[in-house]
Amino acid sequence: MQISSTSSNGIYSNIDFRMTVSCPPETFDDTVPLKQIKKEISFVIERPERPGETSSHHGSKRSSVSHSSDEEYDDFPDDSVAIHNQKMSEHMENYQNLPMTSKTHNTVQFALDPEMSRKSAPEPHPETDRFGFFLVETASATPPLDPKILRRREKKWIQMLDNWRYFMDEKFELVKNRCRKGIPPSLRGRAWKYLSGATYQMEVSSNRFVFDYCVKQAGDPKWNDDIQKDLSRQFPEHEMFARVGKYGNNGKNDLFDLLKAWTVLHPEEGYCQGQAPIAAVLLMHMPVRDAFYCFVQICHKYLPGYYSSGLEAVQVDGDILVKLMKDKTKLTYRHFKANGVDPALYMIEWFMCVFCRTLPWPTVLRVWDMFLCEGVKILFKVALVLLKYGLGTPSQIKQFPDMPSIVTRLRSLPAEIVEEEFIVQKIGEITLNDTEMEKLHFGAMKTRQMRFD
Amino acid sequence: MAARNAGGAARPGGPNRTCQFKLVLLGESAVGKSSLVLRFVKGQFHEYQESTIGAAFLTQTVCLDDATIKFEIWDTAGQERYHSLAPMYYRGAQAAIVVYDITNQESFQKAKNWVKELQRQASPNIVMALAGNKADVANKRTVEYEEANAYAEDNALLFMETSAKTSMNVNDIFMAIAKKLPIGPAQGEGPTGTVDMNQPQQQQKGSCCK
Repeated sequence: MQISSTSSNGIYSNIDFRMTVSCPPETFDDTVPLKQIKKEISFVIERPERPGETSSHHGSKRSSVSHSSDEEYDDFPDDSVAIHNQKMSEHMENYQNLPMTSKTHNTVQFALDPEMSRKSAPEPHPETDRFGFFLVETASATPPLDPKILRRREKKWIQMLDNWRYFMDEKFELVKNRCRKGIPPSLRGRAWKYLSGATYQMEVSSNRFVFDYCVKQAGDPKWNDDIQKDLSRQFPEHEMFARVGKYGNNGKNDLFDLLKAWTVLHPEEGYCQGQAPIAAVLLMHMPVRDAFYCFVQICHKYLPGYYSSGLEAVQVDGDILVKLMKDKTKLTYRHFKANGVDPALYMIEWFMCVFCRTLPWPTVLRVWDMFLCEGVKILFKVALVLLKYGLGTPSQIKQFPDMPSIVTRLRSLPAEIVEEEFIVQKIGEITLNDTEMEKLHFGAMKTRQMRFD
Repeated sequence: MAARNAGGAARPGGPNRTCQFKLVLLGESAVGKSSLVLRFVKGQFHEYQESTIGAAFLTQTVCLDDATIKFEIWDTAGQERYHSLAPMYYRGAQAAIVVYDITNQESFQKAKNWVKELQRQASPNIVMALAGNKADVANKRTVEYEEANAYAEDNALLFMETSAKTSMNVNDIFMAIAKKLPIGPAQGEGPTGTVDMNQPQQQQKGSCCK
């Protein structure tokens, strides 16, 4: 397996670097060995492969990639890819040739047919949707993707994952474009690990033993208590974390192990309630060790400081969001300002949980695909789309005239603007200039500092 | 549900005033703040209520004899880490419910800290209530009723033991707050802050809401 790595091209200040690429560099000092922590368990911050960290990616010309460029790699001239593709198609054919009832010709239907799963499962298990959430009356609005398109995309992704370094270094636009189209569900976990740099951390880096060490430690009882309180409160309607169902307590046990391992790694900073939903989403897609490394990457690099005491970083991003609103959706900005709607009143949960508790599930996954590829910018873009199309027109502003109605509106946005294709399309229409973002970030930090001085 | 009729059905002819009040819930993590609000607003109870990140916002209207009161409820996150956000939610609040878990002594100490902070920082006329939640598991109690009651009396707080699960005292504590809020000319100068004077359906009668 090839793992790409990118070397550092110089020293960047945290602020400068933060906004231009997916994540900041490793300049934070939480690796300082603390008294409770043995030297060998500190998470060594070196420079692994990061989406967008090579100079070729963080130019401002990121946004437009034609679809044709996506197609040209169908014949990627690499033997391993060819073999892999062949294997994959064999696998897919086998899958298609599985014995099925004469009525079902669609493989997706077959896989999801509740009658079939009931027959094969010895114990009754509540029916779930294709994401693992217990079924409620309402059916999913978007039909699953055509299996043919899905298979084509799977092939492309396998090819890409097997040649990750090449694609990240040379074809980042293509990677980005494919992430925007949505990662095929069967490869999502693996792709997330690659995109976040977790694969490197858990397989190559000297940090690869960190999880095994941390998970064996008892952990600080104070943090363990905090984590325990929250275990039953994460996605209680998902089969992995529900009190009933085939997974029993395994999902919750994994969640505990992951979060405890984090607190062993960061005994001072500890556990923040915003972290459990992030960990839970990852655990829905990968085993606990993999999820841990993805989680650490998100906390260290995508959202540094978001979960630390004081919650400074997320509030700074709230201030930046307001400044972006002024530029991108002026009516909303004025309306909020006139009514004293502070960003912290609506964006804390959005950003801290990467929208996983705000948007419909198919949209959440699409947002995560883009977020793990492009970084924190995606959070701003999603927020701007929601604000602009949810509360951006004169008639909407008339309809939601005051603070309570604005906040209520933002907590129950109409289905059409939280639909996956709508959000992805509108995100594509927003460009956030890197230099401008840096300036805004710097300004927001300054303002905040001055407020406290 | 019962909560919708919490102060009795609207009288024929309708109530004569509508007042809006900002109410904030504070207290340690997992004491049942969100569950109390959910019971009051929607009449529901979830054994496994999702943890609150940041804060949640809900509204509920109750009818008193001479006024309709609309509560704008900010339900805050309980974890210590979110403390720095709290002033944003209790700033300008006319009412607060500080919640603790009767089976958790530490949460009672934390509640006392919240009361102190509100006494120092919040609006001077704020109506404060103390709620000892999870009264349905009184057999695991570690905070005695008398102890909390004495503390509440010393600090002039409304006090009730509640259960979001069985709905015991949930509507009652909100109603008790509603009754203490300044809605008439005799009870002070009236609420300020979030009162909305632009609502078309609002009847601007009397001195309520000015």
